[in-house]
Amino acid sequence: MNEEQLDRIDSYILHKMDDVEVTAFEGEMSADESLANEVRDTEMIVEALAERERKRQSMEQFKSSYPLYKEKVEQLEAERNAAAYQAACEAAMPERNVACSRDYRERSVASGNRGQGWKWLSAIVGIAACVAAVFLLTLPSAEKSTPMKSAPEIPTIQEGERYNPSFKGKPKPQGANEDSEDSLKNDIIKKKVRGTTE
Amino acid sequence: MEMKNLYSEWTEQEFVNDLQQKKKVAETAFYNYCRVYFDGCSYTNFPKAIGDDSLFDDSFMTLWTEITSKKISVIEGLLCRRDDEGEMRQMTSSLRTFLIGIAKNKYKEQLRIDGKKDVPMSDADIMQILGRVVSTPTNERTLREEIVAQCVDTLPPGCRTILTAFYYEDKNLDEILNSSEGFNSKDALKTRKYKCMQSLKNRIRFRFERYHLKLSSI
Repeated sequence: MNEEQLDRIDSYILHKMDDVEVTAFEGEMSADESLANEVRDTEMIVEALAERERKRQSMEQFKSSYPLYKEKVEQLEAERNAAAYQAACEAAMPERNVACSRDYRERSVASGNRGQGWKWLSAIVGIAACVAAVFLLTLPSAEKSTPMKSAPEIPTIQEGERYNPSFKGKPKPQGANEDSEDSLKNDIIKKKVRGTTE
Repeated sequence: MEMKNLYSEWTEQEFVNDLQQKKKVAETAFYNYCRVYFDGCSYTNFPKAIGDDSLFDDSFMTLWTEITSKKISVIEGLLCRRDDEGEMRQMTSSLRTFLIGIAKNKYKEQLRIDGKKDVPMSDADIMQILGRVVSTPTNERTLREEIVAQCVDTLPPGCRTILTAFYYEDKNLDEILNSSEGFNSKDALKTRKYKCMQSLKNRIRFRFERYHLKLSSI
């Protein structure tokens, strides 16, 4: 089949021939089986193209109505679940006919609130994590910016001394804690001062 | 909203029969039936296609065409599909699972085109769901129509646009030239249309030979 032949077939299929041309073309077709087959197969292709286009247009409609459908189905599903729950509840506890429907509503609300609670909790945890991360990131830079302090004085334990964790100052020379003349003098002075102030 | 199109009112066999009779209500219900299932599966099966409707659209169109062209049919109450040898075999999966199989193949093909060549390409997903032979087709015209429909379905988009505009929308070459980009002249467009038609007919011829069909002019 060449381009010119396809043009003639197109004109015939798409009804762009006048009556005289149609008669002549149909005469050719009856005499030439291959031309007749060519026309038939081209018609089949055109039908398939039309069918596909029809489907594509239908799909656009389906697509636009799908969200509404989905919403309706979910609503029906919820109603069905509620009815199923109530039936099961009433079967289990016949004396609580009225309470069953209320129970279901409360359960739904509770589960909804539980969901909200998780959302809040996760939001709070997230914020706390962010704050902690920012704090940790800024910490080393803050240390760098402040001048180094001199190291605190570490008490040394002399040989023979017992370790006393509450001790803060320098160790006194051995025997300083014992009663001596100096300490007696100090006590007397303190008592005098107290006596004058009181 | 009328809920006649709730898909629970149909069995899959009824869907197939009604779609072949082009019943509009059944078409809408079948779309919803497939879409709900596809949406539920897409997150795990097609993570890179979330939010993109084209994968579902293409897959659904392929399934729909297989049903309307009677590649998938109901025989003796069983869902059957014609295999590569032209024999009708009982399907061992549901239509929705089959749809996911089609989508998986298209998804893999798309990933392969996108440059991820490590994804293997095979028709195993589809072939696995075909079971025993139920009957051998005798209606040659149905088989011809089915092959033509499938070849049209898999036409390159550029060719399909030109041929649809010309044969379905009844536009002449001047109108198509004005509404499309990439063609400098009417002659170039005319040549392209001719080549598209030739290429389509060659593919159809190849498929006819594969099914041992008597060749016509194609």
